[in-house]
Amino acid sequence: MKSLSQDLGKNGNDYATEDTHEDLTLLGFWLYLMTDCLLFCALFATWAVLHNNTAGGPSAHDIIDLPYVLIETLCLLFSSTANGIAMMALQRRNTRSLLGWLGLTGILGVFFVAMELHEFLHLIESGNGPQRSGFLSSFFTLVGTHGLHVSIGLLWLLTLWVQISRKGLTAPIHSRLQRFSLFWHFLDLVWVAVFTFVYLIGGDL
Amino acid sequence: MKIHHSSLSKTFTGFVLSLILTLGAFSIARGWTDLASTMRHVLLVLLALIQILVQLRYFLHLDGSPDQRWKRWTLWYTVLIALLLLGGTLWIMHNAQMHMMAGMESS
Amino acid sequence: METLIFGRLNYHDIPYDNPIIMATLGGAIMLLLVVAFLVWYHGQWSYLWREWFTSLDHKRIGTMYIVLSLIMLLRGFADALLMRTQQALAEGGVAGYLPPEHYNQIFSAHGTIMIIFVAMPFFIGLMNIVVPLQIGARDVAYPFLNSVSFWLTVAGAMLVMLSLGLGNFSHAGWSAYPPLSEKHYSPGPGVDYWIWGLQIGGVGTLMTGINFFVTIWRLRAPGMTWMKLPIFSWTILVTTLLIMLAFPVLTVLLALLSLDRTLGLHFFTNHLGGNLMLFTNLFWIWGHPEVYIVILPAFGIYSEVTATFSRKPLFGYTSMVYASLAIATLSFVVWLHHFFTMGAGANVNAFFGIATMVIAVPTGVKVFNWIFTIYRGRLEFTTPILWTLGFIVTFCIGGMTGVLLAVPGADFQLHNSEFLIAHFHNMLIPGALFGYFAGYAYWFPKIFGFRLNETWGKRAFWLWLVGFYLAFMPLYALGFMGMPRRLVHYDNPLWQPYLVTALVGTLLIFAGILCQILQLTLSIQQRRLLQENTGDPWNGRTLEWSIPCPAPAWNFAHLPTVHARDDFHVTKQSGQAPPSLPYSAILLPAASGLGPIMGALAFLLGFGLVWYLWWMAAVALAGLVLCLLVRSLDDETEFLIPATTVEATERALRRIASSPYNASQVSQ
Repeated sequence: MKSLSQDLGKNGNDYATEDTHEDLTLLGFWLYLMTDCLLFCALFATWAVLHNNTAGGPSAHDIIDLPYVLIETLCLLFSSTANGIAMMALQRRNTRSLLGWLGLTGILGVFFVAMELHEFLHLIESGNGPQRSGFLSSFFTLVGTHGLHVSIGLLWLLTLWVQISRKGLTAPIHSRLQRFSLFWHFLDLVWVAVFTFVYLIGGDL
Repeated sequence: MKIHHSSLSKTFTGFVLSLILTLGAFSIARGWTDLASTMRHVLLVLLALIQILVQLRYFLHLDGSPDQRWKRWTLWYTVLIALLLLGGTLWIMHNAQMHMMAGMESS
Repeated sequence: METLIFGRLNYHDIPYDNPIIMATLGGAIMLLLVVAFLVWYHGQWSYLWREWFTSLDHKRIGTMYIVLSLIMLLRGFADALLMRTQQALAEGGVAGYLPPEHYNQIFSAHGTIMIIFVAMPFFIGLMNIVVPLQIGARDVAYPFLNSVSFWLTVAGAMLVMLSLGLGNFSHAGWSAYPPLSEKHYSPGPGVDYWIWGLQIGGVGTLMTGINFFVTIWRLRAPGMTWMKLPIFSWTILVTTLLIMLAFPVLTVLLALLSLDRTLGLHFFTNHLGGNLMLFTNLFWIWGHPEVYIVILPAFGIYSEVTATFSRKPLFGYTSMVYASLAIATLSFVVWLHHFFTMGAGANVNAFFGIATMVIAVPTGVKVFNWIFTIYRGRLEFTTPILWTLGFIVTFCIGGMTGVLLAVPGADFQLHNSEFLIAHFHNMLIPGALFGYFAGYAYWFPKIFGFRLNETWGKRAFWLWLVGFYLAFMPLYALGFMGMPRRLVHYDNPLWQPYLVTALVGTLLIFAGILCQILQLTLSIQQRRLLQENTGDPWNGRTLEWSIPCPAPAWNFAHLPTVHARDDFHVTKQSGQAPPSLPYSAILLPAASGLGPIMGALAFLLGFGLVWYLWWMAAVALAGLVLCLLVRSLDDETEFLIPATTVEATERALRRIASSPYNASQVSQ
């Protein structure tokens, strides 16, 4: 107990004095990501409860094409890595390199979303849309929420890309890129849980 | 909080490790069919956990430095609540299913 | 084509054939028009827009939150009055005056409004006003986000209000359990109003949670270590933590129910693989922490008030902090006690029952701390302390009935009965609302520069307290007598005397509310008499009392350095005059019209989704994105107040007994 309060007390001394606006936004954004963790957690819980409720429709095993998912996964992983390299270009303030790597991040992200949409459309066309069963409702919603996050991230990336090429690396853009990078890596992290539980384990049950 | 300077080697390490863990997970799910399924699932969850830690360390740059204390605090508290939520939900719903729907088709 | 433009909206959706609703609606519209006219007549619209609606000043946003809460309180209480009257009448051959489908909407609206649009905005308003002042900051971490949060809450509240005159409200209870809340059983727009009102308000609350967590975490004055943080700010920190962890679950839950209803998915339906018990489970994962979200801030207020008026430091400050943290974590392991009877096995019920009893321990620690703070103190019987004393006694009764309900066996008998109604009103009215009223009286002078009339405040307290006992103690008895909750009509003459007593209690509370309205009006009239020149009307202990009343726009002309817990009290005791430092210019967030605009767009988004006006929802959504884009391109978000203005205002507020209104004019 004592060490906790000392620990907390120390914290107060460190932070209460000098703070820049940038740090505050980054902290707030980190907390938003924590709330997003809980959001996905609730969706995972829903999927976990409903994944056997196929109502005579297909089960995960019937609809999942693992090589396809592997390519999706690699798209996102490469995209996340490209984003990491872009952030290094940001440190060196190399605008051309930054724009290039951000472009690659975006293109790989678009591939990911396109593949997911294709998977969804294929399912719906074959009569296995989200209305088919509780399992499919939870599957579409969990995977789709992640896809929606990625899509919003892509739009965000587009606005950033345009801003950088117009205005160059201003301080606000620098700060926004930091946040975008957090968001993008976070989405890759969520995807690790999605492909493990929904696709690999779910498809194996 | 300082802005964290990442290095190419760090990003590259993270990438290679994630790649190996991903490929490993997919090949376990596809290939190791003679292994008991529970065993396979435990392995998969383990690989996912390791990959999440790897990405936290190398992509989100979360390390033990003192200026990241608040990040670790909030993250671990979130994980604790997330586990309570998940574990509690599965326990409750499974238990209710057993008592209320036993013998009935889940569909 | 017609459905494309009008969705499912139809002029039949206006309940013109229902005299009660139409009279209420007519009255409300008349009142709105009169207020709007008066504001226009006095030429105050542009003042309201410039200085209030678009303001990013945390004190003004906080005040607007409380105004919203009080308006919604009147609506929620009107619902209560209707229900109590109906139940006092409708025995045996008497049908009462409310048809069942209307009665069901009233109890659903009452619960939703009281929790989401009265309790939440009330404490969020108080924390907006107080937290930056207590921690020695000039504003919150994200002032613009704060404004957006407020206007989203307004949008949610307005959606719920609109359901009165257009369509109907949910009849599925405030918890909207499926399958009743599913499309098949509730095809109308009622449940959709409930969903989108909560969803939009909930997003606003979630953003406020992040905002205040960061504010307390990072904007504390130099030297204010965690164990020197005033206890109200501590409880707010814990509350915001709970908000951040619980509200995402509500977001998911509402989204899933709306997917079921709008797109025909099967999360909670009772066919094609839905699981309606999952809804109950997810609802209370949010719902139980929500109880602590509304109650912890009140605990913080009681702590401040008790210490100030006992003229003693708070007893067991450290244990208070750890008790709050313990409550936060434990509140995530008790949610099943809301549905013991759902069918989980004995071991599951036992676990959650015991966890529920355990959570009473840190709460008990707090009660003893307040009692020991009062013990051998020199207690001053002001209105805030009366609310506190009334709370301590009454809350203990509610706590004990809660522990009783935590026993699964007892719960099987008492769940869904009037006993439960009595229990949770016993927790929320004294537990939360009395605390907010105490905080309202306590911090009122800090915003407006004059105190509230004590006589009428005390009358209001006694009427509320006696009214509360009369209204809810009979319900405990009715619960033991087997009366279920939510009855529109019953056939048991034995119940009627109790229900009539409850009605009398409700009328006393009504008189209490009238006293409060009178208190406010009188206080405004007597504002010169009640004017507060020292900045420290109660001989307070924490930083907010070190600055003038009303607090200037910049809060602190010189950011304080903190050396002790109850720093202001310690400074006063030391008898040292504050050093006269030179004034410097201060940067403050500039007003922004985007907050109210985004609120309006969110309202249209919700309206479009309720009535299937897809074009409207799409346009509103695009508008919201555009607003965010405009904001992110705006580089002039702050303005500078010159040192001379700061100095002139500070001098005027501290020395010359000028009208508080003039003072706030200077600060503009």
